[in-house]
Amino acid sequence: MTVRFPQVEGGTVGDVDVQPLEETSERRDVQIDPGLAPIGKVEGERATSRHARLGFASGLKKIAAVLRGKDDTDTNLATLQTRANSILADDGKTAALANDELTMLGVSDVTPLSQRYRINLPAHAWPPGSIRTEGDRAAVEEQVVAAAELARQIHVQTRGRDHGLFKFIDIVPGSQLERPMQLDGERLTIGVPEGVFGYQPANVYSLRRDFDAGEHLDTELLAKRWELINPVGEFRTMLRSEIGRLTGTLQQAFKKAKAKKGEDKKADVRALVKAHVDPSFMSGPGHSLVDEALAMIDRIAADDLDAVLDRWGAELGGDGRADDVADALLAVNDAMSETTVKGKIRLEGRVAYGNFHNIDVGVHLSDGGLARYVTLAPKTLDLDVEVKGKWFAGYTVDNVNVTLSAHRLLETAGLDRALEHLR
Amino acid sequence: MTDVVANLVAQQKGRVEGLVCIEVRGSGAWTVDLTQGEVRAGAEEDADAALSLERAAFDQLVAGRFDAERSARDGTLVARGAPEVLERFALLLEAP
Repeated sequence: MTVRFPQVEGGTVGDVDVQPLEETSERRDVQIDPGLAPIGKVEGERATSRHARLGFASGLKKIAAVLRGKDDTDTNLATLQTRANSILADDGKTAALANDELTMLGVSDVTPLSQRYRINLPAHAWPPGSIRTEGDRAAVEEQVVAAAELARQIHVQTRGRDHGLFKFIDIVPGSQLERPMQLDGERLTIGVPEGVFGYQPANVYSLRRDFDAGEHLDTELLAKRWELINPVGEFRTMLRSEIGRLTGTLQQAFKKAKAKKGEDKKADVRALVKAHVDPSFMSGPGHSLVDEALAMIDRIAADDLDAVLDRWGAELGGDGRADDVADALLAVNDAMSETTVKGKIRLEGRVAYGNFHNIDVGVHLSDGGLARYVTLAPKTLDLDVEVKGKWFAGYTVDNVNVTLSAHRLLETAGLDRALEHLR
Repeated sequence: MTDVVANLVAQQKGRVEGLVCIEVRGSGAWTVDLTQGEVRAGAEEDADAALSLERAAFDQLVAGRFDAERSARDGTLVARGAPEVLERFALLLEAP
């Protein structure tokens, strides 16, 4: 293989390949007939070539001296941790932007960003020499800033709620991780990618892509589930939006019904029950919730329905309901294939129990008690992790294909709970 | 193998060890394998020492007018790895 260093001012590092063809032919003439006097130009080039080699050698020694110079890793690490502490602070730009966005979404009184997340640069992960230069420090700082931006995005998209997956974001050299990021217990560890010539920090877009893709999960099984677990993934984001729209529409309908009197009010509430409650949900032995509600409407005074509607509206819940619905879907799915899923998860060890305590089958599930309202779709489909429409989710676990429906789930659950106090 | 550097490292094969990667930004990257006595095109991940220089900085380096401290500070030079490998490489370049 022919390798050429670039031509440089004052000569070349290599003295043959980089010369023009006619000069090479002059060299051949010298070699063919050594009796000829050396051509002065060639001698000059040899001199500049040696000059270049010596210059190169001198430069390499200077660079070696720089590398042998003072190692500022400890100082740089302290500076970076200070920066990491301040970047999410309440009086910082990141927190202010998060607060503005939450306000625009109509969300207030949430835990501040600084209390929800903390960014760390664990000293044990950064050995001497790992942040030696100003360039190293700047690159790691860029990664800290991107991590803070990721935290802000998640904070806003989850409406400031605690998603329960992680609180700490650790920044470590990329060579210490087998994947771009890793979720372990309450910690999301982000590795600063390392190239031949130094750190190459991942920007927030790259971090978010890896996070949404489940790159921080070390099993294929859990990575598949991530589509449904991801607090800022498409599925839960869509559910939040859809539930917001649904509750808004229902509250308006409740308001209109309450404004009416007598039989008109009863007719409106009957219509609401028929339109929004799952007719297959059995609220007691031998009777459906719809039948029970219609009987109740006939039985009580029209004015007393206002209290039922108020309670029904309150039971629809707020932003957190989207996560409850998603967790309910997971809970039922897991319960249906409990042996398979639990067996698999146990084999995977810490990830399942350390990270996903909130979806652990039937034990720690935070579904808000909604799992009993999930209905099984009448057919199974051949699908992997897939969000199917607004209220459906399904995925495959060891060839168990499941399609679950949360259609009318919230309305059914809300009315069922509203009627509890009348039973 | 006609390049002087390649010739020099080939001559010293077995006597000097190390892998040095040199990138001249905008021009390309080379990996000098002191152990195998080869120069290969491209940057190799497992280099013992890696240098990345702006073209102007590389010109100054070869011309013997290189200020490594200043270049490291202003980013025209990024250097990582084992200094002793660079020193071995320098000794090789100084060979008559």
